[in-house]
Amino acid sequence: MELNIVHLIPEIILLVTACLVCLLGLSSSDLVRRSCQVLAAIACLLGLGVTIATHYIAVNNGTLQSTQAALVNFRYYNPQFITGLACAIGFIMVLISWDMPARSDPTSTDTRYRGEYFGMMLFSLAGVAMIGKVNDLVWLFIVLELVSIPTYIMVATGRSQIIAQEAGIKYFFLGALAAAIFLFGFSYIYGATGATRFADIREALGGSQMAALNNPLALIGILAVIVGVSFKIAAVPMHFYTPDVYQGAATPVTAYLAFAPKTAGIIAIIAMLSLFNFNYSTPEGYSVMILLSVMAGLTMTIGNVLALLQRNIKRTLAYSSIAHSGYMLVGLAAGPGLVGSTGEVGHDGVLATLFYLGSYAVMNTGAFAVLAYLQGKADAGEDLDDLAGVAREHRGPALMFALCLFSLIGMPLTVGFVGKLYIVNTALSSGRMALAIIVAVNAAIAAAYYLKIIGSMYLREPLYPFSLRRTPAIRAAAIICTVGTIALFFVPTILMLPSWGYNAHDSASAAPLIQPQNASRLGAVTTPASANLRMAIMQSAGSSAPADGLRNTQFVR
Amino acid sequence: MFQFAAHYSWLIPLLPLIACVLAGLCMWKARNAAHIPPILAMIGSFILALTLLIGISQDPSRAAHLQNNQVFEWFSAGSLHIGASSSIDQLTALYLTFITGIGLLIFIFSVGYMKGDFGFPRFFAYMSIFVFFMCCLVMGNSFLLLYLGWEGVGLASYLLIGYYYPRPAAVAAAKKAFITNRVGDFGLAIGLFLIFQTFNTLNFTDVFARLQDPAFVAAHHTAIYWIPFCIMLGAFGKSAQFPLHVWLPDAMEGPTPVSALIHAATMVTAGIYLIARTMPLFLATPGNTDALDTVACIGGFTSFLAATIALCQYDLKRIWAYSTISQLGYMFLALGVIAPTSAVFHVFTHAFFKALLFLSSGAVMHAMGGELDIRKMSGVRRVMPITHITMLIGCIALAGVPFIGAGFFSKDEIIHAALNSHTPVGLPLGALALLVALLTAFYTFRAYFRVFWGPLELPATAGHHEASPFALDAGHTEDVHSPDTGGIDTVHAKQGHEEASHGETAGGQMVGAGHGHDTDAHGPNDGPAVMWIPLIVLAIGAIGAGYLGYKPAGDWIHHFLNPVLGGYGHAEGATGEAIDRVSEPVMMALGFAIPLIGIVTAWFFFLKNRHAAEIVGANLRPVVRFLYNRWYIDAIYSAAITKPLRFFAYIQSYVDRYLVDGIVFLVGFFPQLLGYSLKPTQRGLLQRYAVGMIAGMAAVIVGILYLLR
Repeated sequence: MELNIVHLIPEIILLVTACLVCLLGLSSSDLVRRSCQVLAAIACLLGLGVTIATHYIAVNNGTLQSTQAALVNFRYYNPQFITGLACAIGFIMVLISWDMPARSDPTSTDTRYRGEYFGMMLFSLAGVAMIGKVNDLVWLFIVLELVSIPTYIMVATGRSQIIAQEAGIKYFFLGALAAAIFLFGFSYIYGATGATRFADIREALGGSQMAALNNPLALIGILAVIVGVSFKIAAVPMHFYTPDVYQGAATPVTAYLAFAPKTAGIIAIIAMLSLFNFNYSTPEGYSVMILLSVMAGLTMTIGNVLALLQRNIKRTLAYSSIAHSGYMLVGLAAGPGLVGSTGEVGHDGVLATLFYLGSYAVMNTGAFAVLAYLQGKADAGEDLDDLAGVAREHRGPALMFALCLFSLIGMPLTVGFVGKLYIVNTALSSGRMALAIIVAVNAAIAAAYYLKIIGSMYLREPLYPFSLRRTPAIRAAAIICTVGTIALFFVPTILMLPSWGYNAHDSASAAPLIQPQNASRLGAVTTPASANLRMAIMQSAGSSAPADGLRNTQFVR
Repeated sequence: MFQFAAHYSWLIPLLPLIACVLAGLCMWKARNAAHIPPILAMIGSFILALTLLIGISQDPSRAAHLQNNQVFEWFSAGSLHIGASSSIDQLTALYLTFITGIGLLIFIFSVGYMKGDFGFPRFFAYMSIFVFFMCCLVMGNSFLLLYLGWEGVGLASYLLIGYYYPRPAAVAAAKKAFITNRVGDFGLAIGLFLIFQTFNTLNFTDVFARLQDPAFVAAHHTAIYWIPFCIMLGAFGKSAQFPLHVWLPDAMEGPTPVSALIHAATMVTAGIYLIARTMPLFLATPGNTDALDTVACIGGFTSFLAATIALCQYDLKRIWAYSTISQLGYMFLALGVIAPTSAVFHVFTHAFFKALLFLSSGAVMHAMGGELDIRKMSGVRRVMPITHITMLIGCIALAGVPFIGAGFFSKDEIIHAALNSHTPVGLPLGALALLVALLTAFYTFRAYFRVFWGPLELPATAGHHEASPFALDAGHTEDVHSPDTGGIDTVHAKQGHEEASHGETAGGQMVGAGHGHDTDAHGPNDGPAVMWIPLIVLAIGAIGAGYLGYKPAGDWIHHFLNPVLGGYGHAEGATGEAIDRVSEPVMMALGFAIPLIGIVTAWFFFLKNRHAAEIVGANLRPVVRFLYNRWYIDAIYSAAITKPLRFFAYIQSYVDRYLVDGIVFLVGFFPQLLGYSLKPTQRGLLQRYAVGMIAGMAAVIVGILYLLR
């Protein structure tokens, strides 16, 4: 259960490279400054490689369980998944940011601030990579700030336009306010339990297996943390900044904002809920579940109905980002399901949320990548009218954009469909019928504004000639994400990596987490024709996991 | 050779299918070579089919080995196992032979006829798929495969009739054919459901085997009573029998080779095949011939109806279309009086002479620039000598001129069978059929004498290509540079000028009627060799096919078909003694006299004294109008079915537009309304946002405290 320094190698790589890039950015040589993004990309790939390698070494040595960190106390979700996701998406972010920081003069090749930009991005990525591994409130706070503070700088300096500075200032002040709120929550938790380590807090709340929320002080603390962290994921009631900041920031930065803080925030909320083992059966626990449900419903509805009215694509995608946070919260409100039941992805809300997080990262990053590619070097052209008739001349980018948007809608043959399927399924299997209906209604509302963008690209006449930002790196990022969006529909098991560590509460007494036949079954799921089939296979795979030694908690509601 | 053909019999439908794809692919690179794959495929299929036919003819026991040959399992659901399996017996082999053989001749004709047409590859692709589905229909060993071919034939006919889709009439005709066929197909589908429900299988062999068990038949007598009626409806639709006959005359909106294919080799003969194939179902209950009597009555009535309409039509192809309906009526009459061999024999002979008549008409149409009104042309034999001969042979065959025309043998056989039938309807319908034979001879030679004899008179469009709606052949037609020879008819010439000035004729060049000296390369003529050679082959068939059923010549067709179709008549005949109301010599005499009377009458009115025809027509104006308007059947359908449906659809469209759409828009409006009401929360002011966040936090705390109170 204790983390080994080996498991921090990816983060160390990212942090060291970040420092290096910051230094190189000061160089007087333009060539050296230009190497910043190359280094950043290499660091991300290296981190990803190390993550996968350590995972497979652990699997081969049979030591996987002993190296698991507790993302959730009584269930083990492999935190290396988040590290891998951060490195992989981080690599794509570096590709999208290839031209950054953007200058208003399209002919400018100014690379003066490049070191800062990529340095900040790597610092933030290191925070995301680390978030799954924290086991202490103090660490949680530091890592959350490590994710966020560089993004304030990225927003403000990513683009030499006044709205970027305005967005940066807004983001910083409101982010500080949100940080104050969740720090306030941490202090209440500490005050109620006298501990900052998660394990100790659980002990104080009734023991690591029996932890339950029955302390009003701890409840207030957890509520405050959830509400405060909802700033990071852009959920109601902390969502106000989102459209302004997303619109103001340069498109690559917006893409990054839609990924990094959101991932960190969701993991932080999972960590908070794991302090009382997702036990929604006590009155206090129940009220947390109600809070999550209400937040989820409001977040998706407000995000979608406001997105309907937008004509600016980045603003639309900002509201859509709010809405997608709502979908993710549904999985958390559903909870991990009955403990005695097997943890197949369709019935484990936490797994469904983690899956959705990964799929959203792929499809949304893809959408922003195409948007960045379609925008000129001047970073203009983010209005619905600017995309009119793009499909006539630029069929490839238009098709990729359309596919990513279809995935955000949740159309079959894209990963977005699988994600929504799991989310709705967990809501139904945990009895949150109302939430499932709200998700369905919202998916319908959301389709309207996504289709409006697609319709603008395909059905309208071009208003003026369109200049592409012909950067191969951005193009590559768009292609990777689009292919991933389609491929992950057929091979969703890649995004189920968090469940690889899934097992009983006690790692010492548990059977090997990856049993050979399990591994082969997971690996074999490469050609299913439908999601249902896949779910059936997942269920059969999950059912072979031992169900002994589990907690007998009744989830009455 | 036979073993080879038997082993590769599945190639018979497959080759046209492959050809369809290849012809379609020619669309891009080799437009003018699109005819090559279909013709090669048809040659291959024809050779295989002919080998099978000859092989089975030599040794009928061979057919037993060709039953239920499964190529692969298509699908299975519960107790339903459908394989892509073929059953080939005498009936199928005969059908396959004339489908592919006559199809091949029509394909070759089309090469010349469709040359330079915009949709050349598309045309051959559709024709090939037509043949493919027809082969599926006759080769399948189960009702489902038959239905597959059945629907496929309907689809192909829809595509081909609507081939000139920019022309509204073609689109309307295509829709009419398809929808009318749907009515029949609906009946067939219900029949299939009933069969599967009753017999729990769709395989022909299994179904007919069950019928041998009297206990089984008695247990399911209701279903078994009604199944034939359902099947019959399908057959009436596909074979254009009253009341579903209305689509066939309009089907000539397609290119003429399509009409030839529909009328001769494919499509309309499917209905005869269906009933001949499912004859055991019609005879399932001993002593009960209700279904067959219905078939006979409908057939007899339709043949009379169509023959009378054909009397007063002026469009050459339309006359042949009604004659097809009339002849199909004969075939159904034969089926209804349990003489399926005679019916199939007539299908066979009819295939030759009807293809011949249509292709000859096509040649006339080709030469006259798309004009087919028999009032506008006369004496055409002088400019189209070969076409004249082939058309004459076709007319002789259709009229049933003794010993020359193929129709003589097969038609007289049907009438004889009807007159001597055991069924109560046999005698009156046989008498009616005799009358129809007279009418047939009359209207056939009316058209013939009008068009080919008398003073030379050609429509103004003669010599032009048929005005293709695709209008691509304006620059490269070889016929348009014919000089204006002055014309014999100034009125026509004037019309031609007007048309030219409207840009309707190719290249704006005016071509008057050829005057006889102008019959070689330019102006109206017989057309290229690919067009008249198939005509000659068909003409030989139209004379010779009848002798296959001529008793002194060995009566091959009856010997050949008897193993399959011969048993039914005997089974029924066993219940009573043989009837011989009209002996064979008497029938022979009638068969001699009736066509000749008809021809002589036609000769008198339409060649000797055309003025007399006009006088008679003027005196019988109401009758002529009634017949010209096709007994007002189309008008009645329009008023009784189409218009009420259209009115209903009109109302529905308003319901859809205002009620349904209104609700949808209202639903869609709510999210927007919600969005507008929330918009003030996003004014972009930092302080407000901060206040909002704190208020949210406060609301959470208050809400939770309320929950926990």
